[in-house]
Amino acid sequence: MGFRAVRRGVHRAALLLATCLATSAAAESLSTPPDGVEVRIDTVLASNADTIFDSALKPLRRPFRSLFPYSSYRLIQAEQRIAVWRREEQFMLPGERYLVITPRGLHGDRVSLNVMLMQGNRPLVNTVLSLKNHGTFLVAGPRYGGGVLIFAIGARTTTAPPASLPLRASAEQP
Amino acid sequence: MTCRETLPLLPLFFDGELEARQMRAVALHSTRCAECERELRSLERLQESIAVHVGALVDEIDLSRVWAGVAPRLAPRAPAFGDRVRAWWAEWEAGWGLRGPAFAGLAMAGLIAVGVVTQWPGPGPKVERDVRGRSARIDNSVKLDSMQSSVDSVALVTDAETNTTLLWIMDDAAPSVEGGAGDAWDSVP
Repeated sequence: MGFRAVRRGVHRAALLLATCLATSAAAESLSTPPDGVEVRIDTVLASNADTIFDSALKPLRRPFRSLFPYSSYRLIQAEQRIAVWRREEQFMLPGERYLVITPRGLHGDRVSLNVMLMQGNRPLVNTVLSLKNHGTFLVAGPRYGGGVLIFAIGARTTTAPPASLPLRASAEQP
Repeated sequence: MTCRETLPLLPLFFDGELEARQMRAVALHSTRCAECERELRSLERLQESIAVHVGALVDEIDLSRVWAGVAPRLAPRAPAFGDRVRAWWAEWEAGWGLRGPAFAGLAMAGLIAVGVVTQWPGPGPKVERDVRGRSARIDNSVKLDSMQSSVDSVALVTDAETNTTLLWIMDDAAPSVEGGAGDAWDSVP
């Protein structure tokens, strides 16, 4: 057995060990508090038609002013649900679109979500993200009613995370 | 008065414990009766000898330390703790008319300070708490673990001030939904 063979064996063992560690870390890091997670979808119509800022969007004023070039922001739809961990929740949106949210678990102070934006039966975006607990994530772009739709996706949980539960691979993808 | 009556009374006569009438009768009889006179003299001698003996014993006693023990007990004593508390309370009650408002003001200021520090009486209704929580401390930081997209392009933009992440979707192929001419998805602002 030559030196290269030994080195190749060592590399394989190291790769296997790293894979095992990464897998176990990913499986054990997500917890699912029994109270579920509160998911909120705010649909905002942004335009330059006027200069109105919906008072209900006051907490989002700063990021909106920073990220968008519009002068008017109207909250046209708001929906809030207590979602069960690892179970899909569908939120109907204007323009035959809908969001499929699957809460995956809690990691520290971050809520892991699988967010899929659908138009009809066509998935536009499918992403897995970790959102700060009580935080908001924005998806924007679709034109609607002379403006642009902004979806503010918020998630929060008030329960302290219990003992970690492994996340099954089959539940990761909706 | 006879000797038989006088003899039992002689010790009392000698000590001056008889009534005046009996004193006179015993004294008159003693001047006339030699036997009673002798008895009376013997009593005098006995008393003198006792006095001398007792006086000698008393003179032998050292009384120099008696005063040292007695003097501290005669000094004015400090009042007991309970008496001092009662006296202090009586004085405090007498001045309550002036000190009361100042004390109440201090107590109120202390309560307000505690309330400010601990945010007492706690957060308000749920809705107010939501708005306050979302506006006071905005940290919308997001970690994207994975993303697949079927649109033409997507852009990730982050607001540095609030860490808010925006996923901007551009899809020229999507049909217009609400009568907008041209693209159904806006371009990145």
